[in-house]
Amino acid sequence: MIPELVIALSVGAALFGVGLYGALSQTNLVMIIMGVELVLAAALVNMVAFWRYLHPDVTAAKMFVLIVMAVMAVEMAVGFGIAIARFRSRGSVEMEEARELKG
Amino acid sequence: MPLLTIATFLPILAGLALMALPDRSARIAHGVSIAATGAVFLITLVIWARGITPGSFAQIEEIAWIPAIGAAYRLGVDGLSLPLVLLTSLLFLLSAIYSARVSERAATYVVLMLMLETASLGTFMALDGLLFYVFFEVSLVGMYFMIVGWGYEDRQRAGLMFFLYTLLGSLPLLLAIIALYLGSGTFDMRDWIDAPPLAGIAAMLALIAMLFTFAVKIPAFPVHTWLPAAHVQAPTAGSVILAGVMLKFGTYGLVRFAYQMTPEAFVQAGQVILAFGVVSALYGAFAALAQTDLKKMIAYTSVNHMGYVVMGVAVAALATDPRIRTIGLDGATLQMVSHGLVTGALFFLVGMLQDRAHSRGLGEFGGLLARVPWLGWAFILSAFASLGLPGLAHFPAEFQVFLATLNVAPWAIVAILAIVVTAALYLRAIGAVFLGEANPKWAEMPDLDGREKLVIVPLLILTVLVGVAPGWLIDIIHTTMASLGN
Amino acid sequence: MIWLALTLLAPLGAALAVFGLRRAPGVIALAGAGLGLLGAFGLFARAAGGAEVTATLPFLPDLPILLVAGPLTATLALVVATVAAMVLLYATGYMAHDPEKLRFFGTMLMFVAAMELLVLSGDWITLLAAWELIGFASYLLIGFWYSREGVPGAAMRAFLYTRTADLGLYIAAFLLIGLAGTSEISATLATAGTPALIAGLLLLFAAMGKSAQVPMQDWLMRAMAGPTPVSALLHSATLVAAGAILLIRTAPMLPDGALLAVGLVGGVTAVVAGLMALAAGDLKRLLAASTASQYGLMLVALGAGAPVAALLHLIAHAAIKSALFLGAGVFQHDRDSTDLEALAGAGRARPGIFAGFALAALALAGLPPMAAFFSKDAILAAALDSPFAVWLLPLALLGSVLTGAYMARALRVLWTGAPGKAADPAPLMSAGMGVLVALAATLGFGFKPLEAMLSAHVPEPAWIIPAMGLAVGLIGLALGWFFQPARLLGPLLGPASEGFVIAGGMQALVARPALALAAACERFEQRLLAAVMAIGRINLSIGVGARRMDKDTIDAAIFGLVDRAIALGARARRLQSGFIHREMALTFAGIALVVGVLLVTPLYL
Repeated sequence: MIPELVIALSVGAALFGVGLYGALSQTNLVMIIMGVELVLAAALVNMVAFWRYLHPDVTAAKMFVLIVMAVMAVEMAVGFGIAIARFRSRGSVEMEEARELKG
Repeated sequence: MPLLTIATFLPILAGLALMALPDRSARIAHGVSIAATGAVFLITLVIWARGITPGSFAQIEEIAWIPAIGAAYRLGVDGLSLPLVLLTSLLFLLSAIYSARVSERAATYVVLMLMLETASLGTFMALDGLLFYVFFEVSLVGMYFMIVGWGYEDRQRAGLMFFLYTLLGSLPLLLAIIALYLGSGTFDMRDWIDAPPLAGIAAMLALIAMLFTFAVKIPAFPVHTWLPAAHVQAPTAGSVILAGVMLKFGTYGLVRFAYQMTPEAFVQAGQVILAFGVVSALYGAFAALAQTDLKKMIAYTSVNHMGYVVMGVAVAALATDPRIRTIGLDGATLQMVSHGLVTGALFFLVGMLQDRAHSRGLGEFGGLLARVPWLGWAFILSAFASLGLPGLAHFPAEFQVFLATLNVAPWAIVAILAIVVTAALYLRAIGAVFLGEANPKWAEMPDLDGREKLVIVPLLILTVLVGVAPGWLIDIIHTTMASLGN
Repeated sequence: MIWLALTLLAPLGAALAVFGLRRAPGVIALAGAGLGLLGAFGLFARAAGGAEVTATLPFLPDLPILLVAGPLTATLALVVATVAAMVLLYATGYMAHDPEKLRFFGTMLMFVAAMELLVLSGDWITLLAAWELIGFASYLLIGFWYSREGVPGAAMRAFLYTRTADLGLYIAAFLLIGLAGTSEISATLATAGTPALIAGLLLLFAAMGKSAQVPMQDWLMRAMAGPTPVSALLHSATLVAAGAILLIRTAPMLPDGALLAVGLVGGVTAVVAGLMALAAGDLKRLLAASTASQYGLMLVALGAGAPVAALLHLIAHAAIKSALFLGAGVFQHDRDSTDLEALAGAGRARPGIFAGFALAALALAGLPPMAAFFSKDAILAAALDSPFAVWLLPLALLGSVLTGAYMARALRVLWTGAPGKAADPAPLMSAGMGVLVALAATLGFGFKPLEAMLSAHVPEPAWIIPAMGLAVGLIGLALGWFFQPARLLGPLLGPASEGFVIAGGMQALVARPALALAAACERFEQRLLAAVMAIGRINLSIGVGARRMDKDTIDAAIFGLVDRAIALGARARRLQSGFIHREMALTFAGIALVVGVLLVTPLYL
């Protein structure tokens, strides 16, 4: 076990935990999106760590990171678009009030 | 010219034609029924003129249906069925004339009656086991609806009991027919008669099954209780047909099926069958004596008369002398016809009385003979015929039956006591209804009108004719019975 | 052949003519009866000449109708025809004012035809048929005035009594036909042994009913409710004679045991009915009881083995008794009643009728030279000579005494008393009666030739017999004239006037048990019906049970399953909270679960 890898993965795990906790416990949509971003970021850290310490010669990994970042950005844009649309219709983005899909 | 088929199916075809007519008023309906039954009567007369052959069936009409099992549409007549066919067509014609008084739902009534006629004629003339059974059962449906639709106070219960009782009673016959088929490989009744297919235990079981069915139909003690209820509640024409025609299905079946198709078993069971006949005769007479309802009284005398028929057939089976055997069978068959004529007349007359008085109780009347002489004298004549007065219909038949009985199974002659009991009950009825002081309640009662006379006079004439000169009728019967006796 | 046809068909044709034309019934009746009489004369003449006329008609296979007019039957036919003609002549006067006389004459003619058929029958079926037909005619005639009280009951009683007795004839006929193989009467008379004894007793039973012998005498008493011509024709000379005729014809077959029974029955009846006649309070009932008694004497003769004596007495009695009845009818017309008290002195108002009546009465008592003297002597002689003399002779003598007694009583009643108003002449009635009285007086002289014709030899009785006969006759007449019945009968007066009804009579012994049996059958019927209904109810309850099983068990199971599935779905629905957080939490939990499974499975698979 390469110790640097362990440290990097722990950082990634910590980020993941924080992000998950945030996504699940926050009531504001913006905070939930932030949490989801952090989860994605943690996945990216894990990927970079595995690339740097296990397979440094695979160049495709760098491309994958960039693509994920782009997807993150797009997803954030969509998410905030939804948040603005909701804010405009309801005047708030509190998720506790969003019960329309209750079965 | 397939006259048998025409005679059998003309009634129902006329009924269907009636249903297709736009105007189905009572007048049209009754006109159709009288025309149809009249035509059938004439056709049966022609069938009679064509003649029968001794020892086998005549005028066979056959259309193959399922040759592999010998099932076919097959009609024929012989000395046993021809008199019954004539009786049937006559009684239906007279019933049609009498029923012209029915005004509610006349078209349906007429169609039911015509359906009954088809079923009756078919039953008597069928020479195929399946065909016989079909016709046998169809008649139940027609009679059920007649009772329930046009009967008297308690008709629902009586009709239902009649239908279920006789339907249940008919099931063993189906088993027997199937057994006969399994024994012979065909449903042709002629083969069953010429070469009885069953033997030993199988024959005895088939016989018991057939006897059960026919005992319910005849009706014999103790499975006779459906008869009084059905008769009392049925409309007049229904009672006449029930007594005059449908009871004969049972006795016809007794001779045709039980006697002819399982002969050895029948001989073995002969004493038991004779006992049932004797008990029926005596029980029917005594039960009739206890009645105060005229229709019920006559219904019980039917049990008595049919008991004599059973006795005649039973002693014929037990007899060793072929002459005695023929006498027994002749007497039994003649009794069937006589009963149809006489009891038919009695039911017509009681119906006429009921139409006038809306009552059937013996105690309600008195001294009517002066008021309604035609009705009264017709009743007296028919009553004396029913109790067996010589010169009238039942005497030749009962004489033959009793003659055979005494010479074959002397113990059974005790049934002759019944002729005294029937004399007592009829005289009591005559005395209560027609003699004595005139009951002022009926001072305005009208006598028989033209149509009613038209219905009753032929029956009275035939009653006297059969009593005085039964030769013409016995010749038909004897043709077949003489060969059956051997 | 023509005589045969005339004898039978003339009355029948006249009956049909009366009913068909519905006019002039009296004239038609006389014409019919006259022609019938002519025919009977013809038959008698032929038979006297030795020829036997026969005829055969088809009826049933092997059992044809046979008619035979031999010496015996032709004689009887003549007797019937003569009495019938005279009574019908009388009836044209008697029934002149009755509104229903059409029916009367028609039925009477029918009866005559049936009776002639009976005497001329050559086979058992015809005899049986005619036997029943005369019973039917009797029912119609006794019940002629059917709206009067008691009349329908009397007619019914008569028919039922005789019908019950007819069972004997039926069974005997079957027995004889079966044994002989043919229904011809003369052929069956060859039967012997036990069957002959049984047949004989059965025939006796039948004869007891028709001839009103004890214990079946009551119907005859009640039959007097009919018009008097009916009593004169049927219930004195013809119908009641049928029983005696039957026994006379079958006499050759009867063995000793049967003969003894016949004789005893006859003897007892002669005495019992004689007592009843003496105690009677009504003239017609007196004559009816007398009829039964006289037939008893005939049966005594038969029992003694002398059927010819019985026949002679039958002929004499026919003329005498019908004459007496006709006379009673005339008195009845005068006083409107037949009660003896009402008739007191009626004889004085009509001396001619009374003379005839008295002549006939004395004839019956057995005074010479009238017919019954000879016949009664023949009976007494036979009784004396028979092996059963110890029984038969005393009964016969007692019967003869009683005959004189009650006839004298009747004469005394009719003669003593006020004559009443003058009576209208009754030419027709007188004519009819007169001829019969004349016959009653003179027939005795014809007996010898008759015996020759019948080829029967009745030996001349020793002088003791006529002496006995005359003595008992005179003693009887004296007793009846001078003493009241109450004194003569003593303690027997009560039972005698009641008709010697024992233990409630036929009513209690036969009728009530029959009705009780009928009621029992009806109760049994109800129970049978209840049983059928019970079977029906059992089936209905099976049906209900089947339905319940369907509903509660099967349906419950299936629908229960459905309900639980729906409940389960409701619970699962709660996961759809609509909360983003919860949704996401569930999503991550699911992912974690999948990852865990993916990581773990390579270790175990």
